[in-house]
Amino acid sequence: MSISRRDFLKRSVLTGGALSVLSTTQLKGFTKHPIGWKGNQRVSEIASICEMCFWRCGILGNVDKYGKILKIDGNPEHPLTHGRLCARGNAGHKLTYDPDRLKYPLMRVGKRGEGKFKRVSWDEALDFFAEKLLKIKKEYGPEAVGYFPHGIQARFFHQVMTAFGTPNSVEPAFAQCRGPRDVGYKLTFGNNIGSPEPLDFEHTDLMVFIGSHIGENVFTGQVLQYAEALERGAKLIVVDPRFSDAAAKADYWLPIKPGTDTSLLLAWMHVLIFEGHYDKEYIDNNAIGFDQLKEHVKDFTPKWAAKITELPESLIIKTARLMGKCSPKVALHPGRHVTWYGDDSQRSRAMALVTALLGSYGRKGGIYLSSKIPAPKFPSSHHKPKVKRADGAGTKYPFASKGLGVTNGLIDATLNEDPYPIKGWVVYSQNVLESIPETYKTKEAIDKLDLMVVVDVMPVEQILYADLVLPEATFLERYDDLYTVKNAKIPFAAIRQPIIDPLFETKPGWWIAKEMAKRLDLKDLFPWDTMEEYFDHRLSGLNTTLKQMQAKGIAMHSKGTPYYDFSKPVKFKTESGKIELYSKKLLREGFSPMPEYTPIDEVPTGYFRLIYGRSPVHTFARSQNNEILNSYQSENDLWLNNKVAEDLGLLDGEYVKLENQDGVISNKIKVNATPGIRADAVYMVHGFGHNSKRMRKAHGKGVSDTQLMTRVKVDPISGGTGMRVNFVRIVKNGNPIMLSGAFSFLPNFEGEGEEELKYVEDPKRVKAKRKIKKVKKKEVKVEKKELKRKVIELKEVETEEEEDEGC
Amino acid sequence: MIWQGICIIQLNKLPKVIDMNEREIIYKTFAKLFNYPDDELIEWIKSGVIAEFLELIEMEEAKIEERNQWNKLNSKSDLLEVLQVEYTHLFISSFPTIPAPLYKSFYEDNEIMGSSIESLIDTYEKYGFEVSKTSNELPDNLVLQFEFASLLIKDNVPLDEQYSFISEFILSWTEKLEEKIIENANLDFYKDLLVTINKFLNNDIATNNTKLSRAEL
Repeated sequence: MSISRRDFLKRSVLTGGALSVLSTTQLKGFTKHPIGWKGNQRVSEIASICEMCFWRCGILGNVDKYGKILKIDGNPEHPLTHGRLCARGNAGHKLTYDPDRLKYPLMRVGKRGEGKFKRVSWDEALDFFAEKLLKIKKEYGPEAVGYFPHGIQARFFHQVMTAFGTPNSVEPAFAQCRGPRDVGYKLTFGNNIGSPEPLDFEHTDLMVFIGSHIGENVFTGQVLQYAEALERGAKLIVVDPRFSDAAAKADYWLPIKPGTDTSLLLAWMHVLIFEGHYDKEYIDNNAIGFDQLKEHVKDFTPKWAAKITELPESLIIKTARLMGKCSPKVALHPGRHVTWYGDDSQRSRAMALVTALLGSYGRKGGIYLSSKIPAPKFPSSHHKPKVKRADGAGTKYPFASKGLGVTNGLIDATLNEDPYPIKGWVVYSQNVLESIPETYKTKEAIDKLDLMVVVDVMPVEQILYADLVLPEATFLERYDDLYTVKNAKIPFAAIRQPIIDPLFETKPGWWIAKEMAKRLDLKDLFPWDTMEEYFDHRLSGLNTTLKQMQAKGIAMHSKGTPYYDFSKPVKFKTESGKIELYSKKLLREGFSPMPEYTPIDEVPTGYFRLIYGRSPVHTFARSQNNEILNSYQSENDLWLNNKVAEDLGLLDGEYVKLENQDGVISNKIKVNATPGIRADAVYMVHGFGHNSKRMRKAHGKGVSDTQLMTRVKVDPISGGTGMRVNFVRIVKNGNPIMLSGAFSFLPNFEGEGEEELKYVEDPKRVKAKRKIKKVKKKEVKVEKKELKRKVIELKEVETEEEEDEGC
Repeated sequence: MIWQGICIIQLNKLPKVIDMNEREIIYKTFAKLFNYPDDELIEWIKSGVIAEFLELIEMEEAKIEERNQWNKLNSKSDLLEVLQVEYTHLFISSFPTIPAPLYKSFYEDNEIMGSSIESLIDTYEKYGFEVSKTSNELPDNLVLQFEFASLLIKDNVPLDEQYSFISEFILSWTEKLEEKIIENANLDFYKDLLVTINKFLNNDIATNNTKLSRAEL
């Protein structure tokens, strides 16, 4: 009699064969407690620092009896935020509990971009990582590995990369953000500005923002100081093509033509010098090159600038006089994201020179001085790499920071294998596909790599291209390096400590760095075993220990007054020891020693200049998937001048797409038809339009400005990528919408260079326009009322004589 | 021992007698099957142990035969990688989305560590258990819930309390999980497994209800 397999199995089951094998299964998911155990009481309130943006405000994490972070409050001990916290900080725990977060180390098993991975153990992951790095080192040298870090969490791994031997560490914080500003101010005063910007809003009489939109761009501490200054009666000048949140609070809003700011600054200098409003004593005692500057700005009259900026001449004069009147208590914000048009270092220099002429640097009410924090580091036997950098920092871009590097320079080097091959990228908390423009180049560069490792919290699109993905614990689950704030009137150090243990198999950066150091034969790189030991050493300079600091999260370092003492000679950290109005350093490198206005490309007919900025409830492209923040703002919208919208037959709130000058078409975006933007520009908040469907709340919502930036103009001084050089036109139902008679001067659309794109008056659109006119009539009335004060003011400026500004 | 065994009742089939010891092993095995695939699991699949187990929990015969054919086509290392990739795709990380996270809270609160986790932790603690500090998993992970069910059985917790846990904390979401797996699976392995397990859980509970009804009579 034959026995079928099924019969056999049945018999086996009866004899318990399978079950006896399976009974050996070892599961260790639970701990058993003796009878009478009442359960855990994990309730606690732990001080730490936020990482929902880069300002790192003080927080208190509240943990409930289930070990879950219930809420996050502001830490009242924090000297800048005093217990206040923005929406992002309050929503921080939703990052920790985001179902989409990375949970385990993943190794790619499919093709790059396919998104096929398998989970691996940390040992497998780190062994693979080290093996690949050492292979690249052997074949091409350690410099063939590029490091793309962001944030204090990436510092420990930065040490690993440096000791490994690569000089190629690059952060978008420089070339896509504040690089030109730092260069401009350093060339002038010998110090870059740093973060947070040391603006003495507390004592200022006048705040000047050029493109800075505080209120939309939120650092709680700075916003508080700004709001208090306004409440105290400080004046505000805002230069912005858009009626920003700050512009709405301004005494003077200058809706400048984009890209012409340097001409305005030069004209301001002209008025300050030739009308004698500058601080003569300050300049005579502390600056060199005044005569050259005076000669330089001689012809840059307000009339000249008015034509360029499309601002009333009288408004330029009036605002310059106001600055002179408030001198030295003028806080001219140096800006943060300043990589706009490729002449950004010179524009920043111009801002620094205005500050200098006003005598505001190192003075009460202007820019105060930072001071070092005595937090000793562990001595290291490893030296800085001696190999030349590949990104052009210090060479092609002579004034670029060698600490932060030039991201786009390293991408170019990877792509062209020039000056040498770059075969590995370690991307740590940086989003190379969202923070760096010309994404197509970045993807091409990735294709040339032998190894790409991503360390991150969220599965942003770049993980699809990674060979290895390492899940980092969120900022609420880890220690990071000591955070020292030098730019505070009383400098301080703050700690990030775990509020809960890391979920899943995520690990803190310090652990990853230590483990990799072991594997790369750099064992002595971290001569400490625990973070307690590490912190105790670093905090010794502040006469405290980690244990003492844990309750408050903050240790203050008192110092003297944060202003220069001009009763004694002041030595600036420039070559000459003086404020350099005329820069020999720039001249030696072949650049103009004083800022010049360089006209930028005009907007082609039918297109708009794409400008962008920040949202108060989101940070870069990092927070759009956060449940709470997504509910506040799930998509960005497109600011479009209301009259233009009307002419184009577009309704406020309707969805359109954008096509840039190179034919890249965006996702759909909602029109925000408003009189609060010039007719030649459109504006959107950065960070939306995520491609990764793994970000289930953020995917496909709004438009990514970065993806529309297929062109940049690189600042030859700093290497910063000017990104406001891209143009878009509006596409509806698959067709570009242009005004009647408009021409396209740009190639790539329908394959024809200067072919006329006729505007066909669609009957539906005619109907829609009629409807719009009716609706608009009402809306514009309301909006006009809102702007009335500004408009009246502008008119008054043109007709009235100078009036007392009360400074 | 009061309970010598329970019956798995299926229509048109003779009841299969499964005792408490076997039941504990079954739930442990469920946990093992939904853990990340390892060499031990592959060994069991290859040696037919898992096929026997699936027979015990009444997987459809044709499906078991399919599994066997499929197993023959893969070496142990290939099979391990194939299952690991599928597991990663379904439960951990994949493109375009993580189709079927193994967390109750995801289905009931639309987040992880949502409010539904509180009563679960309370239940663990009521019986003297807490999730081990060495575990990297959230308390409502399916693997931990199966393990906890096996611990309740092992500890001779009254049967109605065992079933109450299974019903309230496992079956309340595994049918939604099953839908997600069916929609997104690249392979049949986890799909067939969860379909069968869900049937088993329903039968297990139905048996208890029958017993209770009989006791009342």
